[in-house]
Amino acid sequence: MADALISAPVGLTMAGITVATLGYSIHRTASEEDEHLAVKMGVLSALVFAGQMINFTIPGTGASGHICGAVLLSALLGPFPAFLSMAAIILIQALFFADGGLLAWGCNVFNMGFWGCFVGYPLILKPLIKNHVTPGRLIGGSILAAVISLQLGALGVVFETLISGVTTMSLQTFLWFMLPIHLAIGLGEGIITGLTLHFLFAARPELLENTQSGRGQLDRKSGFVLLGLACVTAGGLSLLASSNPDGLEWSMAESQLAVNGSGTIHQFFESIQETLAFLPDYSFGSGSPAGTIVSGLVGVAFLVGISLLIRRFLKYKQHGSV
Amino acid sequence: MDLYSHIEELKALEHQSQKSAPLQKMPAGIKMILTLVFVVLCISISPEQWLFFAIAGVAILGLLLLAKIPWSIVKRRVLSIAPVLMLFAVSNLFQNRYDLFFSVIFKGLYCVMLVTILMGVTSRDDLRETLIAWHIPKAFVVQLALMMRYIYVFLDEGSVMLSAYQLRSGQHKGVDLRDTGPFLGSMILRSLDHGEKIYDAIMCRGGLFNEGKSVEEFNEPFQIAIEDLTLNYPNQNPILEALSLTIKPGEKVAIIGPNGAGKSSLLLSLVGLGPKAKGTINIGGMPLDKAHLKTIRQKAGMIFQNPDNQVFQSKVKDDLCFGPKKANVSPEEIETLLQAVAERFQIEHLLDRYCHTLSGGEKRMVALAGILMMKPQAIFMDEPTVYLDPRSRRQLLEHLQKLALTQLIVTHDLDLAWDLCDRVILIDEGRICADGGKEILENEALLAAHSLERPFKLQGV
Repeated sequence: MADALISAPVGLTMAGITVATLGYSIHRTASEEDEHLAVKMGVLSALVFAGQMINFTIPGTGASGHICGAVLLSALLGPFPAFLSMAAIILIQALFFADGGLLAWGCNVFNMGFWGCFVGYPLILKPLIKNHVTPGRLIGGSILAAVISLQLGALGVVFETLISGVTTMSLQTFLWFMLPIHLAIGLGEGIITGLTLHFLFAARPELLENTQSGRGQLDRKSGFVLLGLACVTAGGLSLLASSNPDGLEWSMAESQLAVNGSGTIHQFFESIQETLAFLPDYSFGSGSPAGTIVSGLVGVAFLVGISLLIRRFLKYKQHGSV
Repeated sequence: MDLYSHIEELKALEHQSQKSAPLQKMPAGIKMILTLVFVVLCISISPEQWLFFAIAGVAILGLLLLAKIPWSIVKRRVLSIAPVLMLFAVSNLFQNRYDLFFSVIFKGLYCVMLVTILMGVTSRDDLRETLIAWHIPKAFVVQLALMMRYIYVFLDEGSVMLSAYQLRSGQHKGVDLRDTGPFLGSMILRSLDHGEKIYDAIMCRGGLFNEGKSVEEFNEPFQIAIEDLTLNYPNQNPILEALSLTIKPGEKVAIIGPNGAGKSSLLLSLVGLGPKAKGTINIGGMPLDKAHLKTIRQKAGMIFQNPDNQVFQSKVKDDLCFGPKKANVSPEEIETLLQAVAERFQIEHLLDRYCHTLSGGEKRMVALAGILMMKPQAIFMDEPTVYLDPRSRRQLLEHLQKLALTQLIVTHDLDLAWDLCDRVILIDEGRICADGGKEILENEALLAAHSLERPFKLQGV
């Protein structure tokens, strides 16, 4: 994501949130006391950096993408050192290669790093391979983790860009444009991550085992801290959304036109949306920003709920009980 | 654009940033803040404010000229960002929002140029020191610094692996998706191993950061005393077991033994690296502990087996000055030292070369010269003659013979031991099996019992 695709308030808000997450990650990483961890982080970051510099073409779209690497890093380093590494990689890309942008650094670290490091690996891949590592679980889990992480990241790009008001693209069009491309990238990234982890597990199993048992893991306390940060993010972005007349509202208006102009399927979904939406139009109706903040928080709660459900389901599949 | 082009671009910007010009001389912290402010201002211009766009454009053009950023870099960066900007901006044309379309394009280009200007007038060292001065947590700055060091090395390593893969697989471009796991996995394992060695070399040559004060002078006679040294990795048999040894000042000692005998681990332990150590090591009257480690590492230079691990700066001149800079030696003194050392090793013609373009012999000379820039009292060498052709080997030997320092050499090159050393220590299975003069190298039975053979020049005698 480039600087020009976001507004200054969105960029600065996301930078603040990323710095807070980074601060907590540094705190957790510094307490690891593993002198080889710094080398491991440097080496793997350099490799992921090199991987990110190489774009690959998405067949049939003409668009190109690059690997994100957050799930791979998180599996080999642990979520907190991995987030620190992602922040360093993206800062070096922004500064030395003018790729990504200085103001957009916070957005990029959050979109590319947060979900892979704190959701993809610890909530999806790790439970799958915790007690029983098989090639199928490693590769399947990596694909699932990469796809979900990248979809969440792509959603972040969509919302940050729309809130910033730099494009007149409708929300629907933007989502249709972004999500399938990131689905393809996620599949590619998942396969590459899974195959690499499978090779490493066969050659040096301790690389994965140490990460799974290390102290840099996501625990109940850090889960609450990150949940708090996610709430601040949702609240901050919702506040910006409500104050920007050209942003998400504008895009939503475009979507509404599209819905009104279409056939019965759209009308059917619209009726469902009207029935289910308990905070219509992202507000309490009075134009108060409190409504949009609450809407954002509800969104985060929804995502966390889905992640917890996936985790419970995976545990059930593994142990036969919840 | 391939990865190498990116790196070449980076080198060109780094080269530009080290020139003496007004923008380059400005404190890095101020430049970074001004750049961020300028980026925020550019982003905040409303689409209809054309006058502000024009003013910002003229200002950026002026800065580009003042910073003397090569136009080839400007062109490449414009071409690389343009598709992304177009992708997002073009939707505005469908809504007849031409102002929004041009606003996204101009803002994107301005921001890219501002970052390019910043990096063209700010060296990496200045950037790193500024981040430290701003109290950015060291864990993050270490991460940035290590990454920048590793990227160059892994590019070379990756390209060698890719060539080998393509030759064996018959594939002309890239890696087949089915082979990415083994390819990337091998690359990770090799890189982790390589990375540890580079980290060791960085630590031996002064660490990643300037410490803010010079190290104390070291005038004690350089004796090395090792007592009851046991080295072991967790859950493995000891590499060295209760080893005791004293090396007198100025002695030239060869440590020989079969593969896996523990020779290199012994050498690393003398500079506080390698596996966990039990016992005492005393160097020049100082115990090898945290308080004395920096002084000992500066006054006992370590030459690693692979010069690629040791020579990690971009240019030869920068690599030679790396250690003295970390010790905060004055620039004038560094320059005098540089000329003297370059003349001694006859490497004046290499000073402006990029390290990765040197031959194996040249890299070895640069590694040795880099150690001597620190005015050491002793040098520890791990297989110094590997990768060398006969001529380079002879030149290295002549230099080592002239050096009146304590020299400890781990080697399989018994001819080197014969020509250079006056004491030979044979180590096998973690213990000293023989300690004496050159007669050890003539004892065929003793050498054969430890998988060694007499020096070539003694064979048939």
